[in-house]
Amino acid sequence: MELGTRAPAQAQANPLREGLRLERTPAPCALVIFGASGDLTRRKLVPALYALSVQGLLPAGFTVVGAARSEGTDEGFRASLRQAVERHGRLPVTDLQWASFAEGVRYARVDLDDPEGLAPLRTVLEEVDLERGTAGNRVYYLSIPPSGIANVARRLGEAGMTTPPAQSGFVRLIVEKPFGRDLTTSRALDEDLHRHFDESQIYRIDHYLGKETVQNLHVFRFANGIFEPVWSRQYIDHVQITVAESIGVEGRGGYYEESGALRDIVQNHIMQLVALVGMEAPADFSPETVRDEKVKLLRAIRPIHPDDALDTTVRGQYGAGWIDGEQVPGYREEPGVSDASLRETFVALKLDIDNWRWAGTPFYLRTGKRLPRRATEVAIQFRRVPHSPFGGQLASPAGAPVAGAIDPNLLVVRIQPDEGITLRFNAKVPGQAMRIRTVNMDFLYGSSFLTESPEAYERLLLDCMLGDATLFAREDEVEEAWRLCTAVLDGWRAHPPSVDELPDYEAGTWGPKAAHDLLARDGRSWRRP
Amino acid sequence: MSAAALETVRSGHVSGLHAVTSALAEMRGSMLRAGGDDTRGMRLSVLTLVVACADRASAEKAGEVVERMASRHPTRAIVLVGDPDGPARIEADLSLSCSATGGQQVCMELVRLEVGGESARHLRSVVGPLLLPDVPAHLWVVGAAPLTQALSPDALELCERIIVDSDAYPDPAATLAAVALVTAAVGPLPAIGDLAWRRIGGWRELAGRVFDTPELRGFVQGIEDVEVRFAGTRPSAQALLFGGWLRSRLDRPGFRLPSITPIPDGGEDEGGELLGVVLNASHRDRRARIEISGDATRRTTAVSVEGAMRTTSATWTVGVERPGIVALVGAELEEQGPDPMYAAALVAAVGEAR
Repeated sequence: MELGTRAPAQAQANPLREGLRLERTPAPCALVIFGASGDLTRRKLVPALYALSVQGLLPAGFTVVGAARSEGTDEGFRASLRQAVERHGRLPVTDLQWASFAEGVRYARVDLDDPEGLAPLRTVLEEVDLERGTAGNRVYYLSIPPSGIANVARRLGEAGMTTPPAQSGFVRLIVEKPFGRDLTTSRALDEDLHRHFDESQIYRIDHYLGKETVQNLHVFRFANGIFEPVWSRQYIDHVQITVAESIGVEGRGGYYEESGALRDIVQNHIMQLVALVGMEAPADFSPETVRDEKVKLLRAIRPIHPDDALDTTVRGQYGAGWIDGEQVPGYREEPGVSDASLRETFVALKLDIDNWRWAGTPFYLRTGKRLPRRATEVAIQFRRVPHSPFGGQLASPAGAPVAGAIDPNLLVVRIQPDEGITLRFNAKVPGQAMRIRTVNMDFLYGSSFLTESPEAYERLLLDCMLGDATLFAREDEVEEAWRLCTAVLDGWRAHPPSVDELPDYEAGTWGPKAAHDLLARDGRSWRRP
Repeated sequence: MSAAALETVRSGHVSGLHAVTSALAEMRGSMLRAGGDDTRGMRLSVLTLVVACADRASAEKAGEVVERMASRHPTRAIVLVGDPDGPARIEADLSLSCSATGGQQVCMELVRLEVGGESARHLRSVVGPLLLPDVPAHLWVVGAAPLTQALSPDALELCERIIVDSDAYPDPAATLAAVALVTAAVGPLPAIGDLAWRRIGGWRELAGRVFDTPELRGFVQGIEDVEVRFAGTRPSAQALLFGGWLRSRLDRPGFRLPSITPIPDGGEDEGGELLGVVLNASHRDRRARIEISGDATRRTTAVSVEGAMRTTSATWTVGVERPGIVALVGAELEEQGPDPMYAAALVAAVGEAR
C-alpha cells in the first residue's frame, strides 16, 4: 500500500498518474548546488540525484547546476560528478543512464564577493529554462559553511532570484544544519532568510529524517494497533535515546571546537527523535499536521533552567583509548583542537515531558564520540510486571535492577546500523526447573525487505522538489529545540569545568561516570546498545 | 542490491508426496539447527511460488529464473510439470540454497516436481500440502498454458495471486477477454498479475509524467485522440492494455477510442513491444501534440504546443532499461492484492478489441 502519497494533490489532478509509484513527479526544475565542489555534493547529493534519475523519479528537463567559486566547465563538472557517483553511488553507472542524467548537468562560476558575481549563474539558469523547460523553477541547495548561508540568501534575494516564476512555479531553498549556534543566532538566521524567502520556501534538511527507519517510527506507531495503547506513562518506565559514534572528530577539530555534541547532535537529530517517539498521532500525514504535532511535543518538554543544567545534564570529553583494537588519541590531541579545550564530545541529559502521555516517564538522551560502537537507537523500557507468580524478586521499590529479577520488556528501534526493531520478552528455559530468561524477537529491515533502501538524501531531495516539507524541520521546531539547548549551554557556560576535569572518559567506553550516575540516581541504568 | 550467489546447502531426490513433505521438513529443520543460536539473520521464505510449466524444458528455464530471484525474494518455489497422460508418479528434486545478502542469510527451497497420471488432474491435492503456512502463495503460469487450467477453480482457491503473461498466447485479445472474465468473477482475491501489464509500466510512467509539467497540466483533461504503435502485425496484449489504460483513465465525452497501429517493420521488437504513443489534446485555445517514441533502451518524448498566444516545442530523452523476466516476475511477487488500474485497463481493452 502506498501510504502518505506525498503532500497535498496539486490543483489539477493527473489521471494518468494514479496507481503509479508516485502519484505525481516534480515539475521540471533546476537544482542549484552552492558549494558544488564540496564533499557533500560528491558523496551524497549527486549520487542521490543520479539514483533518482535511474529510477525515473526526476522530471523531464531536470537540471543540476553546480555553483562554486572556482573556474570550471560543464564538461569538467560532469566528469567529476561521474567519478563521484561511480565511487559513492549505490547504483551502478551505465553509459546510457549517465548520458541521460549528464544532459542536465551544468556549471556556473559564482563569486559572492563580486556585486555581479551571480550573473554567470543567472545566465546558465536562463539558458536552462529555454533549453530544458524548467520554467524558472528552482531549488537552491546551500552546501556551504553556516557563516555563508545568510549571505547567499541575501545575494539571491537582491538579484531577484527568489521569486517563484508563476502561481504554480516554485523557488525553494535547502539549508543544512546547524541552524544557528543558539536560540538568538537561530532566530537571527531565520530573520535573514525570511527577508528573501517565505518560510514555505525554506527546507531545513536533517538527513536523519530521511532515513527509512526514522520514517518507520511513524508507521510502527500509527499503523499498528497493538503498540499505541501501551505507548504511555502507564506502561513505559522510561525511554533511552542513544546516538553513539565510534569515530572522533575526523579532521574537523576546528568545526567541533565551535559546535560540540549538544549543537552537533542533540539540538537536531536527537530532538527530532524525541519528537517522533513522543508525539501524538497526527490526523493525517500532511506536512503541517505532522510538524504541528512534533512542535506540541517539543513545547511540552519541561524547560531546563540554566541553574539546574548540571543536575539534569552531563557533558564529557574523550581522552585517549582503544577502539576496534586500535589506539586512538584524545580529543585534545586532535588537529585543530586546543590542548586545554573544554568542548564537550559527549552529552547525556534527562528530559521530563509535561503532558498526559508522558508525565513521570523520563526520556534519557545521550550522544558521544569515540564510544565503543556506532549505534543510533531508541529504547522503550516497559514497566516490570507488578507481581511474579514464579517467585524470585521483581525489583527494588525504586525500580533498580536486582539480581535474579524478571527483566522488564524492552522495545528497541535501531536506526543504524542493522536497522530494525527488537522486542525483548521473557521465556522459560527448557528443563525441569522454572527458569526464566529474556529472549529477543528481531525484525531486521535488511532481511524482511531485501530491496535496498534509498539513501536519505534521495527521499529528501525528491520531497523538496515535490513541495512536501513533512520530513524537513520547520522554524518553530528548530526554535523549540534551541530553547532547550540554549538553556543548557547557558548553564554550562556559567559553570565551566576546570581544565583538569577533562577528559573524563576514555575513548572506547560509554562515556563519563557522571552519565552512569545520572540514571543511577533514578534507580535506572543505561543499556548497552 | 546486487544478487549474491546462491550456494546449494542440501539437495536430494525423492519419490511420492509424503517423501517430499518429509524431506522439506527435514531440510528446514537441519537448516535451523545448523544456524545454532545465530539464526536471527536467517530468512527462509516470504511466500510460496508455484510455477506451472508445460514441459520439462520450460521448467528448466523457470527454475533458473526462480534461482536468480532468490536473493531478493526468498521463496519456497515449486516448479511443477504435470503429465496427466503419462504413467502415475510423483518425483521431486529438492534443494536448499542460501546466500549471504547484506549480511543476512537468505535461503530458498526449490522443489522441481513432476506429476504424472491421474494425480496430475488433481494438482491442488499435490501442491496444497507443500504450501508454507501463513505466507501468500503465488502461481506463475509459464508460457501459454491453457487458461482453463491456469485459472482453474483449483488454482483460484489455492493462490493469492496468479501471474500470467497475456502476450505469450497466440491470440492476446482473446486471452485478455478470458482474464477479464475471471477477474470479474473472482472478486478481489486471488489477484491476477499480468507480465504484459508490467512491461508497459515504463510507458505509463512517461505518459503520466508528461502531464506533470505546468504547461501541459491543463491538457490532460483535453486529450482527444491517441494512437498506440506497436511492433508486430496483430494487436499485442501490451498495445491493447496501454490503449485500454488510456481509455479507462481518460474516458469522457470528446475522447475518441485509442487507435492501435501495428508497425510490421518493428525489427527485433516484433513481439508486440510498444514503439510509440501519440496524444493530441487541446486546452483553451491551444493544441498540443505529444509523441513518445522509443525502443528497448531509449525513449524520446517530443512535445509541441500550438496556440493563439505562442508556439513551443521541446524534446526530452531518457535512457531506459527493459526489465527482464526476473525483474518482471520479481515485481509481481512484491504485489499484494489486485491492481485496480490493471482491472480497469483490462475491461477497457477487452471492450476495444471487440
